[in-house]
Amino acid sequence: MNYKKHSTLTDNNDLDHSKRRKDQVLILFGLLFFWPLLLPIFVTISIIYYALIKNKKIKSILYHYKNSESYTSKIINFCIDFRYIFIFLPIKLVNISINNKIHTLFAGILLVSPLLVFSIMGILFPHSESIYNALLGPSPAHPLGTDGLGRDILYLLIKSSTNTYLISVIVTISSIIPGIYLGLKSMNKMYDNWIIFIIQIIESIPSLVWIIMMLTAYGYFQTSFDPEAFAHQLMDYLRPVLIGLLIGLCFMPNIFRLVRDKIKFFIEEEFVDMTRAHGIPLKRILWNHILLKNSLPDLMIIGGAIPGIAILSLINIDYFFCISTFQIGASRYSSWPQMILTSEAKNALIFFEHLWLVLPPCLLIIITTIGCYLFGTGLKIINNKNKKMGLIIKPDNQSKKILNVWGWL
Amino acid sequence: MKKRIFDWIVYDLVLKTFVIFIILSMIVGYFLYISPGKVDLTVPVRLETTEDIKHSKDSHFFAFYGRWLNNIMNGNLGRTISGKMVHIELNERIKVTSFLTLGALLLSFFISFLSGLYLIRKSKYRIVNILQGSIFVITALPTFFLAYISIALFSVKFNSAFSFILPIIILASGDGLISELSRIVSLGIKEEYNQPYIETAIAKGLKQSAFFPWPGTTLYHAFRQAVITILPRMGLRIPQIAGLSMVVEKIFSLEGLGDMLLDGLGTKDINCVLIVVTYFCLLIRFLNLSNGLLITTLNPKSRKY
Repeated sequence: MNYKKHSTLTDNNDLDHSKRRKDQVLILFGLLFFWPLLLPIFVTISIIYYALIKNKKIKSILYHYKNSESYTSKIINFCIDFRYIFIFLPIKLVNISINNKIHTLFAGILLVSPLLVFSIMGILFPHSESIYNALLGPSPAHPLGTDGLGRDILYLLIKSSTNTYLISVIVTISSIIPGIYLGLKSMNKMYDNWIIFIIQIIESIPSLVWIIMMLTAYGYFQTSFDPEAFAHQLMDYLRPVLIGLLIGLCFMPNIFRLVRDKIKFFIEEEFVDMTRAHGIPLKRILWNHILLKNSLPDLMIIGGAIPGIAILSLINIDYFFCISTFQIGASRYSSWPQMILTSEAKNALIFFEHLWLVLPPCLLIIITTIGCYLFGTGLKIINNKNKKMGLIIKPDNQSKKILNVWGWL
Repeated sequence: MKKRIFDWIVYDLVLKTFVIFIILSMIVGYFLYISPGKVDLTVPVRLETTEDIKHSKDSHFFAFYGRWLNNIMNGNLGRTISGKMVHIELNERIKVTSFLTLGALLLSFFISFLSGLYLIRKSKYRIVNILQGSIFVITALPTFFLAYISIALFSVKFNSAFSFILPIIILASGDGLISELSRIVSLGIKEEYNQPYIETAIAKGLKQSAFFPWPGTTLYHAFRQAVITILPRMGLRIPQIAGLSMVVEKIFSLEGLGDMLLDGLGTKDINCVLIVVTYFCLLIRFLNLSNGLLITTLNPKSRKY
């Protein structure tokens, strides 16, 4: 009997180990597919670069080492070459924001950075066991206090930021790419009516209703498997991906309509006729001249704001599943919104007790949403500075007024 | 060729909504039917005759769907799984949700227009600009968070007579709705200020500084042109408000359609879910269509195709 008990215990421990390993493997797998997850590294390195390497003292030391033939000089040279490949874009963004005095972009990067930094820290953070010190206030041992179950809130914040970041990245990718593709396809009148019809079907129900229904169906499918089966566990891991895809699908019509309107507005311009007379194919005109050169700033505003909107809509979805008496679509993943939705957190909001439960996640959500908006507007300002180069044409008022009501219904 | 408004209304209002409604309800119902677990297909039968129940047992989904459509066309909404009549339950629930959504929609549009007009100006004082930013911070809060704080602040003072005021205000202001809409308004008007006709208006001696677009000001002319581009963009936010109304109903414990949908999904009650979906579909289509009619009245060029 004792041996059996012992064996079960060891089995459980092995399961935990395998679960942890699965977590790490899955996240590494995700890193390969979702390259924007590498952004936090870029941002941190760029900030360090500006803090350290731009200093004159350190610059002189580096210059000294660069010209010598020691072992350290080789490493420094390699690092300096390496940065052009990987750190070029974020450094350039920060560089532009500082040199051209675009405060909005810099502020946006700063406000979004906690999400980006935490998301990488969550992968590397060691697993700590929950100590049952329920509802303790902020102290040196627990700098942000503890949960109702005795978990450290700072640990929870860092651990749950990976999922929120993953969802926001999936939403941006899954809404922008099909939105632009369908918007370009709508140039053909053959496809146009059908695409608009499909998008009207998506729009005619609120996005919350779509997502809740699809997730409950997903939950029913999941309950058909055994809880110990591999498929059941895999469906748990894929849940945040599915939620991201669904939110992206519901947000896609906004981008589609923007691209379609831009094309309908610019296709009547003179420069399109000129370029077509030169023999440039229509596909290239659509991509190069209309989409990239003329409608990018408006796309950037929406594209920058999408992650913030995704987090806000995630709260409403999680709220529905926390309320519901049935546990079918219940979310089994950790995220910032879920930290506000516990019963203790609700009581904290109503009675103003134990506010350390609610304030840190709420503040982070607000900061990231505002940061996303600022990031988008900052990117637009960079684009507007290209107007002096003659890349962007000033829109006429006349062709704007011919708005097709057909599309809006 | 000009297309007449009558044809347009018949085509868009009646035919297109009907087709969309059929496709939507079929997709939603079929998803529930496929998913594992028992599904009760005897629900839409209103009269408890034995023949109907016999006929409906062990039938395929599309047979059920045909009967369901036929019942709805005849005004038969059927029963829930617990045995209650749906049309009696809907009678009060529809009032709650439609009042909430329409009230919040009007209020959010009104506030965003006002704040958009205010955002055009730039003040000398930095404090005013900071105040403008703080308004954005408040509106960027999630509705859930706003609602619970407001309950804590106002629950003692307001009684049941004013039970709809607070939910409407929160629905209108939550989830960054006003901040987005007011930005759309201010950007639309700013674009119009760059046009040459404003310069001629200034040369003719119209007032430049005005908070509200009264006739006799430059803002009046800019605003009239800007509304044409603003209104369709605002129309895209209508489904968002309709969806969030369910959250607010739950928090303030108003018996609306959000309850009905959640219970229906939990017990796999197809009839309940389909009826809630049809309600939302019809409401959003109607609001979008009224928005389109407003655009046609404001902008005569959009009547041509």
